[in-house]
Amino acid sequence: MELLTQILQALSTWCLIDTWMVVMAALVAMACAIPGSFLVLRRQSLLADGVSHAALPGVVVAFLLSGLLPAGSGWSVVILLAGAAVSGILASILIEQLKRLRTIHADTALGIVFTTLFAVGLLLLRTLADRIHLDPACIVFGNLEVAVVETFAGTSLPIGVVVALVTLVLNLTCLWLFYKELLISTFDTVFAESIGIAASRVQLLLAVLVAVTIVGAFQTVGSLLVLGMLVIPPATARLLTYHFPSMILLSMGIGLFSAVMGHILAISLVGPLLASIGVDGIEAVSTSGMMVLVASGYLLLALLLSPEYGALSRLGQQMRTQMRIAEEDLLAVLYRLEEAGRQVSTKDLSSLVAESTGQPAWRIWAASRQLIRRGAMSYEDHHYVLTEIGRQGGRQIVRAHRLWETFLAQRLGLRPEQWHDNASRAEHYISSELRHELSNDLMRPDQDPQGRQIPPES
Amino acid sequence: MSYNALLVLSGTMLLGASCGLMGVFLTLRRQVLLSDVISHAALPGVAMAFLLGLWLAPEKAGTLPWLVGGSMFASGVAVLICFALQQVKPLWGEAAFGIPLGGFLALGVVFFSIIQQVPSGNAAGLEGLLFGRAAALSSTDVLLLGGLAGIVVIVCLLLRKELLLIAFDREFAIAQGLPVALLDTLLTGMTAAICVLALPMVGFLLVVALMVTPAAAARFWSDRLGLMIPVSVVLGMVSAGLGTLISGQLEYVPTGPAIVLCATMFFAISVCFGSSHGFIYQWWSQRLLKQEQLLDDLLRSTYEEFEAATAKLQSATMAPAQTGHADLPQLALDNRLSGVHPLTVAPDEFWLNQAVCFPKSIPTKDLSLLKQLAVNRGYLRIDSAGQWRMTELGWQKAKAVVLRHRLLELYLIEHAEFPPAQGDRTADLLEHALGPHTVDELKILLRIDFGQGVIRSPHPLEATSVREVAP
Amino acid sequence: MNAENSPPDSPLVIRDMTVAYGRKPVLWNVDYVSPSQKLIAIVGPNGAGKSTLLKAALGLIPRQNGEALFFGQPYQAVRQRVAYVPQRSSVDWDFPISALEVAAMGCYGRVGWFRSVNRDAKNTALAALEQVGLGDVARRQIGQLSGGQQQRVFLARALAQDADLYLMDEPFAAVDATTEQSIVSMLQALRDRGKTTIVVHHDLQTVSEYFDEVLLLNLRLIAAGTVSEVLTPQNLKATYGGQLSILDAVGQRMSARQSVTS
Repeated sequence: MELLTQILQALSTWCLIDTWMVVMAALVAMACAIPGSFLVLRRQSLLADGVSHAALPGVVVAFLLSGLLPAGSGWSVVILLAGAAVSGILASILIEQLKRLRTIHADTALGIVFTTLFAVGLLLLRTLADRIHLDPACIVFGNLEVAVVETFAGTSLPIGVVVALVTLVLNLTCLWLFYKELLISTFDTVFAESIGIAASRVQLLLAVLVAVTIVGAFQTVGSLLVLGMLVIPPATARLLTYHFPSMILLSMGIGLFSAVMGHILAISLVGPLLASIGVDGIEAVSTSGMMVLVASGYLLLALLLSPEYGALSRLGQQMRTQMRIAEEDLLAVLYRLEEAGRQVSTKDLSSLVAESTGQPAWRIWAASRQLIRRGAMSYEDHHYVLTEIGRQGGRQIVRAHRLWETFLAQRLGLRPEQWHDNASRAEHYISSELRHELSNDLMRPDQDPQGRQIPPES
Repeated sequence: MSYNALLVLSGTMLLGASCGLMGVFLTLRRQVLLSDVISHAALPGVAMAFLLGLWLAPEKAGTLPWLVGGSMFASGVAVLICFALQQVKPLWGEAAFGIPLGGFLALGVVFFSIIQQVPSGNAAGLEGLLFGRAAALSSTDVLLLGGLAGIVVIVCLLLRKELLLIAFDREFAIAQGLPVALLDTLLTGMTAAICVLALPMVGFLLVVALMVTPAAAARFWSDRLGLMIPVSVVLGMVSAGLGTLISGQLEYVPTGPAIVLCATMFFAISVCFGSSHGFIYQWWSQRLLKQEQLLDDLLRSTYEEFEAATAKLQSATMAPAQTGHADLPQLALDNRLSGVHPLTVAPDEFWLNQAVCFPKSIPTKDLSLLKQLAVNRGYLRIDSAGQWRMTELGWQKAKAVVLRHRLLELYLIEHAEFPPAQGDRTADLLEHALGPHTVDELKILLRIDFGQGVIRSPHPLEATSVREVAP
Repeated sequence: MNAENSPPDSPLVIRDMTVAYGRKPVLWNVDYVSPSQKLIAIVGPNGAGKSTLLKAALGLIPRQNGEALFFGQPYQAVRQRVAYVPQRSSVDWDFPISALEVAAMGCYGRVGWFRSVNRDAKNTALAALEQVGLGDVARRQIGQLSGGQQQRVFLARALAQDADLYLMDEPFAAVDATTEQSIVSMLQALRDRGKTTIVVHHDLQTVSEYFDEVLLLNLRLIAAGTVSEVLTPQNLKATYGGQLSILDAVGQRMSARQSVTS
């Protein structure tokens, strides 16, 4: 409760600066989603890391050049982005050239090129330290808090916001212009080559986009964290959708929400949280860091809940299948008992089912509850009685079982002791069409190889 | 040089060597970028260890053992996450690598922003981890890092055979009953350890270079692992040592970039001069090969020139037997049966006294060099009259070359069903790659056995245009 | 057979083409002139260079020697008239894309750079999918389709290209018998509409049943012509007999050769 009031209190100090920070972070995050989606699908997520390092020399040179211009002029932004594009092109050309030496694989080429370019950039930076005001640590980590303070001369519009906006617009334009080339080359390189879309040119385009995006973002979220925004939201979106355009839109949305939530959490949650364990004096943590962490959180959620790949949804699916099998086992046993004209008390029944199917007792119990609720059987005088619905279900399972045993015996020539276990597993997966087909294929038998009656479909 | 500086130097060289060693395994397993994940993920580990240290033992916070422990823990977790994510279907392969990387960096940044606000949080030592600062290491630090690296290297060398096997052929290793999963974990763990140990020296942004570059450079010196490993180790060691020395001399250069640029320099040298795939070396050996081929061509065309002259002599003196080449299979059969070329009837000494003609097909620019080469090899000589003559050795060599060419032609025509003209062209291309062993194999395959003789050409020879017979 | 006096409008003319991976030649001096409006199979043992022949003709892998002409012109000039179907295993079938979008890629070559895919292309793609019997799964993600359906999506993409020459790399690989039959009848329909199709095929049994012409390949062209002419025991022995160990050995040496050998 106290924590909550502290959080609210922290939020109540929200001001214009905070709004600008969120806007800037959100623009960067959305810009990242576009090249990021392609990187994830092309399995080149570390290209982003490589380019983010390799862009350093370009940035340093661009800063040196823009130092010649009057402060607060928009041209510095253009020079910066151009510098980035040049280093992106340089890096990808170097990588391509290295790959042509047959002993060098793509990942090795990437590793060599980006570390070398980064080292060159660092050296330049240190050598020119007195000429340009660029803190290497700041390039690496970014500083959203400082970035909003730098505004265009005479306005309250932060330069960073415009840079981020330009990057986003640039990315959107390129996506619009080159959508089909990017898509086809990513999906089927060989076919793309055969209709005249060169893979190397598309790769170059992508590297330039990544470089421009990274440099557009480095003052805000830092050249390292931009990697997280390039990879994590698209990976999340990929888990949630099958449709490529929705994947891009979704990852832009995830980026946007991560930015908003990241900033709110950064200024409100961590301080009070730490204060509650006795560490005082922490007001806010890095917004950019929180932003990527929030995105990671979304990815975690997607990993748990994604309909196709989520661990939880798969677990649920598995449990539902297990439950269905238990229910069917129970019905089949009851049907066979009824066939033999026997009645067994509920207690004996569950041990019978447990023994013949290996289902744990709790699941048999849960299955019987479920069956009663669905009206497939009823509970009368210490034993279960099948209703018509239940009898129908049981009959179909037994029919499937015995048809399958016949099939195993006649068509596959298995030995008798191999029939039962196989059929007990298979019976749950034989649909009514399959039963029909099996029956036709076996000349509509009415007895299984052990001489038991194969019940009719209904 | 002071004792401490010497110790630091030897420590960095040991780490460089161990990076070179691990790099070979990583490259072979195509897991180079795993070292990127490992080194970057160390960032939050360092920050966490620092914060934890502040809380538990403030006087020791920020010392190396804490930081190394923290980063090893974080790197390990990141690698595990990486492998777990790769199990999710759409994220197989490299798509998963960026995720723990981005997430852990973010965590690190958040931790750092906390550290900056903690009153006692002096993050000065952490700056070195970014770009590397070997000089700042104390002798105990170096002993710790070096000792741990030494242990990893020893384990790695002891398990060398097994580790190479799982890198090369996993299925086979499993069939051999090797504990593949355990070895995998061990190798990844050791890689992580070496990456983390090298952090204070190169900085976490550049560790990858020491893992990748020496190993990639070693590929240009040898295709054999037995040689690649020592080359990579030496290159790693020398780059680390040289980089440390340079950064010790120049105040403003951090150790990391200096080492990386040294490594890249060695890589560039290897790409150029490497004895296995280095392209200047290759260019040079191609040149030698080309000369060798031209020399062969020279000998062959000289021989064929003489051969044509003989045919003319014979047709003038004897009955004009077998001058046409109408029935090729029949001819091939003749060759196999008689196995004796008319030329071998004539005394070789006769030809040794004939002047050599140089065919026009050999470019003028190569000719003088070629003549020199042939003289050096003892194939040709200039007699007292200034005429070019063949030597005994040259004559033998010429016969071998011609035989090789014709055997191959015959093989291509008979066994690969090339039309004769095409067979000649393809044989021109191929013959220089034929070793003596293959020539013997061809003889057996074509059932040709005739001692020292040369077989007849399976197709009519065109008259070669001849340069003037002048020295 | 003779490359020099071929008709100028032959769909595919290959002249003296040698292809090498690295330095190791995998196809030696192939000369081939394809007839028009026929269904042609490329047959040969594993590693005979069947796929390589198609890829090298299209310039997807570099040729060491020789040239390939499509309708008398280099490939770049007549791209629109040639459709290539790569092996199914060459793409990631988990890719988030629908069957319709894949089929629409067939129209990309016509649309050109910068411009986006319009409604016409979508309709063409849908029609192509219906032609291969996949109209009802057009919106499905490709990963949800069966192997045979995936192969037919690739065919639909080629149909959408509306070419005159179709080059297909192993379209029958890992598909069930029903799909194989429907693909064959599709190919025959294409031929009846006057198109030429060249197919890399691995099953010698079905060649005479499915195809008009056949091209026997094993590192070099052994024979080409109508099925009845070419499929002689002698030719088959030359193709599958495996007596080319020396050619292979020489190729190996060419790729391994670094230092001076005498």
